[in-house]
Amino acid sequence: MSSMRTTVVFVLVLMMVLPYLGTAKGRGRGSKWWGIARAGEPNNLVSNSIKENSITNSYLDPDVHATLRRKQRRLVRDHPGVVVAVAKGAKQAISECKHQFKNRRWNCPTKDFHRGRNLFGKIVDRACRETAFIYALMSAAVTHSVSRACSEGAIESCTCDYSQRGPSGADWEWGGCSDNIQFGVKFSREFVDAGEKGRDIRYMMNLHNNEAGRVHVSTEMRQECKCHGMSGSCTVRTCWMRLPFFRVVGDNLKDRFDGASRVLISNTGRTPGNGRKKYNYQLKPYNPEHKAPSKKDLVYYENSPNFCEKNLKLGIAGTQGRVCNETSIGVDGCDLMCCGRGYKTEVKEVVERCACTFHWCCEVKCKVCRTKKTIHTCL
Amino acid sequence: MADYDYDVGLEGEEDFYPDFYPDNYALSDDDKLSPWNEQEGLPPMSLYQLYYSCIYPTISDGLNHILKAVAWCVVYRITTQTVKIPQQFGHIVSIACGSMVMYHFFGHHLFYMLAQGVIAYLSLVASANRSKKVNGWMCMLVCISFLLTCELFIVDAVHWHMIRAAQMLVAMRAISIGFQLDENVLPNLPKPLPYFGYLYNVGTVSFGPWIPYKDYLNVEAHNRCLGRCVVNILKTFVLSLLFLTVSACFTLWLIPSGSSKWFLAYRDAMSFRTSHYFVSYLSELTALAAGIDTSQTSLWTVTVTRPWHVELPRSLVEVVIHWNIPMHTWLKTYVFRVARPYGTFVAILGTYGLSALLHGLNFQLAAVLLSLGFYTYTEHAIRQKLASVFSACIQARKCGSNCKHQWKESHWAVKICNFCFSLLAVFHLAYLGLMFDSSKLQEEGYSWLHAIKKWKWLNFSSHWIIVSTFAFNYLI
Repeated sequence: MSSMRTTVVFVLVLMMVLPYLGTAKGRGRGSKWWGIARAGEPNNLVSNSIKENSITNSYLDPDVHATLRRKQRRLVRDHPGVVVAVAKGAKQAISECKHQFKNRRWNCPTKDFHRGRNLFGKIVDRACRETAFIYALMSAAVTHSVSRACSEGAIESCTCDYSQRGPSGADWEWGGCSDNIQFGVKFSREFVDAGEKGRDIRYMMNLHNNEAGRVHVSTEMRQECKCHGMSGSCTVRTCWMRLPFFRVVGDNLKDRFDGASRVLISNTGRTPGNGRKKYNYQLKPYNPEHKAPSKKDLVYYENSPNFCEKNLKLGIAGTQGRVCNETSIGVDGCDLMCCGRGYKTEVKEVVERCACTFHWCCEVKCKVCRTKKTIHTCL
Repeated sequence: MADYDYDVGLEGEEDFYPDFYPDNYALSDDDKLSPWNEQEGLPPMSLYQLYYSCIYPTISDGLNHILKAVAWCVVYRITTQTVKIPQQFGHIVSIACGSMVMYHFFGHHLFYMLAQGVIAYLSLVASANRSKKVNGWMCMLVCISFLLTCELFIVDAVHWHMIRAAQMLVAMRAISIGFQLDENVLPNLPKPLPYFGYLYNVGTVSFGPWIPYKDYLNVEAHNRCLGRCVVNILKTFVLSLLFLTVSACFTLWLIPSGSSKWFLAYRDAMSFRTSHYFVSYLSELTALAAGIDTSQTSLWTVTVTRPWHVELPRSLVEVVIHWNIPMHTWLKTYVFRVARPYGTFVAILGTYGLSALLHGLNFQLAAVLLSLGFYTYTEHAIRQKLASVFSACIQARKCGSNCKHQWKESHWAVKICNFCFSLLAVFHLAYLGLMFDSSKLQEEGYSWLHAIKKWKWLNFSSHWIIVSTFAFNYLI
């Protein structure tokens, strides 16, 4: 009787411990901060964290507090105002991810009650392309959003970046307040990479993809100029730097997603003893004939599931019930989307806003239209 | 677990996924209905954002240029106009300071401006002793050939676009000396030092304005700056910065990219006009700071442009006059009056044509200038006719004091009529000015394709209107 009980207890303990010992051990836990996207409305953040922050420097919204690691909490405390930008960035990343993948089998599902690293579901436990994209996009969004907040003066500890000045003397210099990309990149390194500790391949993959996201933001910086001079000549130019629209970053990352590099699992980690040790490694490609992944490439080392069937273990919902496009031959077409299971066709009356006009300044007024639409859904 | 330092919380582990669809995290409505296409043009900005992202960098960039130019003007002024110094020394300082300003704005390309001055002087020397008075025409021919050679064969598009305005000003000064020799305003050719001092005077070298030779010589005759001068300097300084920010930031902010095409055309044209006011006031500023005074009275003013006469014009003729007053004076004195005997229409077209040539082989500028020539001629002619038919003060220019019309300016019908003509002029201006936009081409000059495309976008409407006006004028 007692041995039976011991067995039961043992099995129970084993069941509790197993998830931590399996291959998914600790994977992706550095992304717990993603939960910040769910931490109340931005307004609440402002009223609770920012105001209190500036007074006591210790109080954080409990929701935010729970999602952050110790180092991240310190960063947030040291840079009043930054938490709003990070939350905004995380939200932006989610909507961008949904936009980029709206026609794919995997369409970046998130759920309101998913928190922390489970924001995107269990797919992040697998080191596949989708995970690589999510990491890069989240990191890019934080860089983007913090840089912008910086130039708008919303973060107290950073101001406009006046360091980027050309060589003086010639006319072709520009200056002024560019979106402070350096601060954004540096902050994102500290904040986003804070959770990535360890020395295995998954850790390197996360770091690489996070960095790739940042590189995509900083290389897309645009210079905007205006010429001044007699009769339309260009005697004097006034310029400033602008961040790319986040949509551009999303598009580029999506391109990299399609061409992501698979790397070897046997990558042995960092070369010891060299200065910046955290980022000092080189990933080897899975196929030795391929080039090593560049800074902008996304890397992964596990195949993606096909996302066709429901799979609770991987947190995949399957494509049953998804809307598909009958005429398309692409991934959004019914053949591919429904994985050959077939689809049903219904005619539905859809109520939507239409004939929207823009009124100066700044609101959009729309009518409500009822239209009949033919909708195909996967079986 | 030793390798990992995760602060694992139980709330982070959810093995439970009841359902996935439909997804609750939809895009917010604002994202879907945004009237601005994010890929082109700026997204809407708050005033605060506008300040940080545009106004501040623009002003700091602008100040950087303005202060450097003004500093050298002040150096020139203090050196030459505080104590009595030999005239020769004054010219040398003028050339030296002017070269410093040129170097700041154009780098080593100031070489082309120096070359232009030397070549023009050689041409003046060559034609000076002839019995026939051909100095002006010779000099003009040489200068325009030099300008075209530089543009076509020597300097690359981007850098030419940067220096061409200043280059044109050098040419204008040299040509004006030639014509003054012909008319015996100047008894003989100036010596090299005063000549080059005039051409590269620090107050006018980079942005203009064109000033007559005698005003340059008078600089040394003026003594110290009066309070009035300081006030005018501050006024032009503030105005130039104001127009700079309007041009670079506020026009884009006031009329966002999603507006209708006529608003967009008006915006681009307005951005171009305000940019011109910035440059004009900047040129006033440098001229005043260098101690130049072109007014006949002792008011210490240099008037280059009158924005209100351009923004709310009585007619296109007024626009052309008040756009750049010194340039207008130059063209009127040295081209229009000379060509007048061949008929008004020829003279007007000749003036605009020459102005286009001076600006270089720029299809877009030539198209705008020649169009303007035709526009102003048509406008002038039809309003003249209408004015005499109705005996009302509705000509292109204001009725003078010896106005013989029955209906004066103050009559309500005349006012309404003139207002309608103003609106028409504003419409034409938006159409003509629209092609100086902030596209990539602004740095190397715009191609003819760009010009045609822009006008086609507006269905050439303004050209149709003016052609029908011309036909109407011809018929009555």
